[in-house]
Amino acid sequence: MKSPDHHGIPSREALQARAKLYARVRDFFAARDVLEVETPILNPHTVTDPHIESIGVSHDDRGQYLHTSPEHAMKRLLVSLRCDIYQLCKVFRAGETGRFHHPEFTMLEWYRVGWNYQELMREVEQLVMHLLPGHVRLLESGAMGYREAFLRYCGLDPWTARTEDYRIACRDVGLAPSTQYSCDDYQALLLDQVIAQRLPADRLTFIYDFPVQLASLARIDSEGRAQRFELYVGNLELANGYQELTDAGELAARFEQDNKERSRAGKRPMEPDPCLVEALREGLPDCAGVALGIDRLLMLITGADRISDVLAPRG
Amino acid sequence: MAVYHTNEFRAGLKLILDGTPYAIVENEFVKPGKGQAFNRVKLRNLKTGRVIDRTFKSGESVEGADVVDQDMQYLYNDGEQWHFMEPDSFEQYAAPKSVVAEAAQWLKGQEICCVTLLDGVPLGVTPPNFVELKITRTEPGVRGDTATGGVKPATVETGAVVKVPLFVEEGEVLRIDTRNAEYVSRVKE
Repeated sequence: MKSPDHHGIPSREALQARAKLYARVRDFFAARDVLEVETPILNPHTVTDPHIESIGVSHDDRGQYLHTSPEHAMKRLLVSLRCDIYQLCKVFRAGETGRFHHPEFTMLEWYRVGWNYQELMREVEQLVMHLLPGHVRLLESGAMGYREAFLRYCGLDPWTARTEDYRIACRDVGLAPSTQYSCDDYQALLLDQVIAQRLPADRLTFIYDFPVQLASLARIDSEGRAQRFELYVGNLELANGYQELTDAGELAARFEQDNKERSRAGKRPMEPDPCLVEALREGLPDCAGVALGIDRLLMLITGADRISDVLAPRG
Repeated sequence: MAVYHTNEFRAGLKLILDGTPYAIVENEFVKPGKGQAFNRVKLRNLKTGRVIDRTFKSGESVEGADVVDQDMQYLYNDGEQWHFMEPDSFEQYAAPKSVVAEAAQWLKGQEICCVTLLDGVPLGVTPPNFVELKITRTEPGVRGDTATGGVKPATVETGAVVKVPLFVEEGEVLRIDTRNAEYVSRVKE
């Protein structure tokens, strides 16, 4: 007989926890009058993000992509519906395999019309507290600016630090880079491997107001900070949210910037999604949106050590 | 020469970094939500055994090390070089003391060793897990002496010193585990 924790097959408990989690997500949003939507997984365009690789598939003799998140399609819906929406779906990213990464994973994404990102942070906290069962005890949550986090945990100011400062900060904690890194590379490495690791355990921590080069599709405030946040539970990154960019011209400029960066890194530039630019031109309502990693949340709930422990095996 | 992309990294893969051969001990893929992905890797220096940490940007490529492990018979040493033979091709390889290192103390001749070759040159020698060697010198055991934990040093024919139980005597042959230099048993001749 197969043991329930047979390698590669999630336990019955893990599958039950997933089913229960989906039910609780739907309860949470039903009670708040947020509409569940479904958007196409297969799309003719994909993201230009320099650090996300899409999986392409051939379909009807046309190249198409599995979505890396439902963001573009949901924003198109927001333009026509102008109401709060959420989606629970599988998303796909090439080349991401690790303890906390899998090329196919489940994302919960939602948008609140007329809200700002600070309000959405509070709702994210309420949702996570609603979803975590009693045995996962958490202290009150905290929030910290990106700049403050670097000052506190790395002793440098990400607004002014130079490559040499980052190199020394990395060396001091035993992170030996293989080649020359840019300031952006160092920031990504330090955030994930130093700051996140030093965040208080058993606690939700929001890190917000990112440098402009990490704005992605977040709005930039008058002080030059991207209105973006990330949620960590202990040291595990769980969610990523924005005050959504609504300016179509600015969006086109960001796509172009992404592709410049892709070319610099030796990656293929991706054709910008004209539907998203068009949607913003028609008028995306002011909104805040967030994406949350459901499999990681399941890891916390079930105590799984690897993301593969909460995923059913391939057929 | 093979070149490995970070997504091919796995434990055991052998790479050349800064001209030195390494084997991957551990490979962890890490990626912040929006940002560069990295592989945090622990690597063992195949010459010194030292383990180092290195962070690669995912997408980097690294030159592979043409390293093979080959069973070879130890023949003899001429004081400077230790000579080994590949039993199928009869091809001989010489390794200096610095390469044979700790293995030398267990070798008297004929043993099948594992010789690690980098581009055909010996890089390291692993002796058989178990060797049988005769005791050339040890104090006679004193019954009831427990102050030394019931063991005493014994020198074997290759010059190595191992701890043996008190009842073991000079001239006897020992079976020794070379991985921890420990006495296993006496061997009846």
